[in-house]
Amino acid sequence: MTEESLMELVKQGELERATKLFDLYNKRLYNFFVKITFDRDLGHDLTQNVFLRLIKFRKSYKEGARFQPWIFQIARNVYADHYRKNKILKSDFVDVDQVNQKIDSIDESIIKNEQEKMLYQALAKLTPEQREFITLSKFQKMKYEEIAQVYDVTVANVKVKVHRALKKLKEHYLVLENI
Amino acid sequence: MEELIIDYIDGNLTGELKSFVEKKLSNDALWQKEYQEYNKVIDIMDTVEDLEPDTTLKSEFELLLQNEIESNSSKRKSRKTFRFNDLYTKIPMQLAASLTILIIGVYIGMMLMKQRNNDINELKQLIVSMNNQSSASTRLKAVNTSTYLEKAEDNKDIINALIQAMNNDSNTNVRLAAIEALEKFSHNETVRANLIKGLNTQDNPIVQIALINLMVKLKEKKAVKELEKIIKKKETLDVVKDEAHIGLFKLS
Repeated sequence: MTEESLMELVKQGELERATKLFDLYNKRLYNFFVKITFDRDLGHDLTQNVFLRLIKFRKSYKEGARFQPWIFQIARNVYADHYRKNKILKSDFVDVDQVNQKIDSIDESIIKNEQEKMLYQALAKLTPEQREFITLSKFQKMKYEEIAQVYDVTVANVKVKVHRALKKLKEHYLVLENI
Repeated sequence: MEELIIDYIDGNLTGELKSFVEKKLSNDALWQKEYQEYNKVIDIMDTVEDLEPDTTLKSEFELLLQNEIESNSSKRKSRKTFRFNDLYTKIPMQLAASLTILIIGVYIGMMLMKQRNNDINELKQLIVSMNNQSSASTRLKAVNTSTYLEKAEDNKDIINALIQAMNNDSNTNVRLAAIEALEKFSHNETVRANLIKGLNTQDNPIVQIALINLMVKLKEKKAVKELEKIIKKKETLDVVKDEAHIGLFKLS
C-alpha cells in the first residue's frame, strides 16, 4: 500500500494507519530536525509535533497529493513556528562557542571524526533556510522536484538555492579546515 | 563553472555538457581544484550516518494516537441521531434484547456477588497499602485493580491512595494508571481538584497530555487557568503546549 493510500485512509478515519506512516517517516524527520537545529531533544519534540499535526489536520490532506512533500511541508511549518515563538528566526547559532556546545551535545560517538565535526560547524554557519535546503537535498537525498513541492517554488529556484547553500558550506568548511 | 561541477557530481549532466566538464577536469587546474573541494564536502556528507530517535518517540506517538482515536469514537457516538421510525422497528427489538441481557446479567451477578465481595476486600487492602517500597509492577497492579471497585467514593482511603500515586509515584505508568482510575471517581470534588492541580505539578509530557485530555473529556472549565499556565511556561514541551491549546479551544 502506498504512503498516499495510507494517508487517505487516515483522513477517512482509520487513524491506526498513521502508525505505519510514523514508522516510515519518524527517523527521517528526526534527522532533518537534528541537522538543522543541532539539538536532539528539540528534534524529538518537533518530530512528535509533526505527527500530532498530521493526525489533527488529517482532513487538510488533498486526495492525490504526494505524501512526502506534504509531510515535509508540515515539518517546515513546525520548525518555522518553533523559531517564531522563540523569536530567533534569523539569528540562531552565530556564536561559535554556542555552535560547538550544540554539536558536542549531539553525541560524541555520532560525530565519527574531525572532518564530520567541521562539517557540522560549517552547517551551523549557514542560515536556517540554507541548512534546510542542504539537509533535504544532500542528507535526505530528495530530488529538486520534490523539494520544489515542499516549498511551493520552481525547480530552477530550488536548484539555485541548493547550489548557493552548497557553495557557502564548502567555503565555511575550507576555512575551518585551514585553521 | 561551479554550477556545472555540482551538476556533474550529482550525475545531472549528459551528452555534450558532460563531455565538456570531463574535458575541463582533465586539463584545467582551476576546474580540478573546485571539483576536488566540492567532492570532498559532498563525500563527507555521504558518510554521515542517521541518528536513531529515542524509543519514547514511538510510545509518545502511540499515546497521542490512542487519545485521538478515543476522542474520535466518542464524537461519533454522540453524533448518532434519533429517527422517528426507530420507535416501530429498532426500539422494540432493542428493548427485548436489553431485557434478556438484564435477566442473564442479574443471574450471573448474583452468582458472582459472594466471590466478588471477598475479592474487593483484598483489592482495597492492596491499594491502600501500596507505597514506593513495593515494585512498580505491584503498584501498577494495585492501581489497575481499583477500576473494579464501584463504590470507592465511599472509601476515602482508596481515593487518597490513588491521588497519592498520581502525585508522587516515581513510575510514569503507575501515575498514568492512577489518573485513569481517578477518572471513574471524577464526580468527587477532591478528585477533580487534584486532577486540575496535577496539570501544573506533573512534569512528564505523557502524563500532562493524559490530564489535558481528561479535562476536555470531563468538560472541566475550571482547568482553563491551569491550561493557560502550561502554555505560558517556558519549559513546557511544544507537543504539550499544542495539546493545551486544543484543550483550551474545546473548553472555552
